[in-house]
Amino acid sequence: MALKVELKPRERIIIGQVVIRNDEQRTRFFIEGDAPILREKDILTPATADSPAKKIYLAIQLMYLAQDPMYQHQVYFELVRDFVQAAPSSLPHIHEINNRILSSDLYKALKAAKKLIAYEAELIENATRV
Amino acid sequence: MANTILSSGVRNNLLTLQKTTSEQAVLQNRLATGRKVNSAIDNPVNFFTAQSLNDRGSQLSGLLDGISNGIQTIQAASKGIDGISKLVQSLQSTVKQAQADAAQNRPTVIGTGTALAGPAETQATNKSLKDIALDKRIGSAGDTTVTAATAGAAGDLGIDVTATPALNIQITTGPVGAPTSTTNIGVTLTANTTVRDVVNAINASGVATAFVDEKGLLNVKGIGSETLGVGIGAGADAAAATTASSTGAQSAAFGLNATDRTTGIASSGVTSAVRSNLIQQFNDLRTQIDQLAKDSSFNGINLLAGDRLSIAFNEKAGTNQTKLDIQGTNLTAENLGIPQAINTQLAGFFNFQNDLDLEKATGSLSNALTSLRSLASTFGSNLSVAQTRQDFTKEMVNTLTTGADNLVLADSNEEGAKLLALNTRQQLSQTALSLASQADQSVLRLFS
Repeated sequence: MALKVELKPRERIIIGQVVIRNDEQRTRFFIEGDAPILREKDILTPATADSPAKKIYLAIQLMYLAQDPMYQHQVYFELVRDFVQAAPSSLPHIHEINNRILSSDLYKALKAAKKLIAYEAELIENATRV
Repeated sequence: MANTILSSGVRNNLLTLQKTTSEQAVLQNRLATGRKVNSAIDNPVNFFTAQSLNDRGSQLSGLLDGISNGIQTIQAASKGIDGISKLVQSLQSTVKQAQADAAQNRPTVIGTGTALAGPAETQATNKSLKDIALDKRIGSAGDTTVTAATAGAAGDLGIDVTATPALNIQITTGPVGAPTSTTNIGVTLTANTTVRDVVNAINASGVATAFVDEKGLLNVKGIGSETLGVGIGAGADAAAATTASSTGAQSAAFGLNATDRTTGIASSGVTSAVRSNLIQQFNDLRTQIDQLAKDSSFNGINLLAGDRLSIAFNEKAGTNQTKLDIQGTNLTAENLGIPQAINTQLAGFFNFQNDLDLEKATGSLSNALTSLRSLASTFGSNLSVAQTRQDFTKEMVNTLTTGADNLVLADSNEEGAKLLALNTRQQLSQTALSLASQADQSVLRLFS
């Protein structure tokens, strides 16, 4: 089934190995076939991945773009280990991510990683408020 | 009995004492188990989460056993392939040894009719019979009489090169009635075409070797040991020449018999003792291939006997299950295209006395090596998938078990602080650097 995508003016999207940048008007198009697709709002770069959870997200994003769940999983696990050590209560989130990766469902793993980012923000807010 | 009135100060002290006692009990319990929470009453949410994650950890450990068995099955098959490849290489050297010993049984068509040159011509030209024969023209225009060589002229075989300018040499191998191969060698005749040109044309064909011997007779020798048929014919065009050659119409002009094509010359049947001895060696090695393939199983699964290996990577069922299926192949000498070696000509076997069959054997063996190599590479890539999965699952189990233990210690304020500290620590860590360099190699570099 085709995936419907709508881009705002100048919005960017990654499809497979290319970046598509929209011109000045809104654009709507359909994507058929099997390629990693990431909207601009879902994309983190080394510069914007500025927290432990975001780094985990970035690692999964790289797996997703490479379409290989095993891509650089050493780095990924290092990040995960550090995170779980600092915040053991995040384990259910981490576990969901791991499960998605193990089932080769990398897009869902990314979604789960987003929840982890939100949870991290919550924890850090607690700490700064106290 | 009147109520004992306690002052607030005493009451406070008492409460503190009670609390301390209960905390002490909890503390002792925690010290004993090494965990902060170990019953559902303490912190129910964390307790049950930790327990379910621990369960999941042991499920995954169960999967790990399966993955590790799978890996060993693939490794057993890979080792089997290595061994079989070595056996095939030994077979190749056996064939080479056989080839080094000259075949004794190649059939040769020797001119039995008139020699292409006679003693009178040697006197006239002062050349050897062989040279006179090779230099002779095939014929001249409008003339069908045989002309002898003289001091001034090369002489000819009496074929009219204007009426029948197409010459064909038909060479068959195998039974003449139903030959395994038929080769037509066409030569366009001019007044200058010599016997040497015909000899060269036959040699260039690669199906037989031709030469003129010291007696001035044309010899055609097969390159294998199957019955050889040789017919020469001339005609107005190539088709007519081919038809004429199939009955050997012009064979006599070259000193050959028409029956050299219609009956053919069979192999002498002489066998080489060296080759006969190598047959046993070849067949023994061949049997070992089958045995090695049978012995390449692990845990009852043999990928070289056509078994299917299925490695589950998660515990789910149906479409949600991720797994690696590897279909084995039935690896036998027969399936690799290596037939048995024997001493006689028989379809489906290698006749070790026949050079042509040895040639075929060399081809089959190198094909077999190619198939083995591609099979090995398939297994190799499956192995690396399974091994990476194994690493991943191991890491996952570690995260789960250590994480679940720590989960019960969870304190959200502390966690927030620790995450902030981790963030600072990560800024310049090796992990962050390697993450950034990976991103630079991907499409993400276009986003910076």
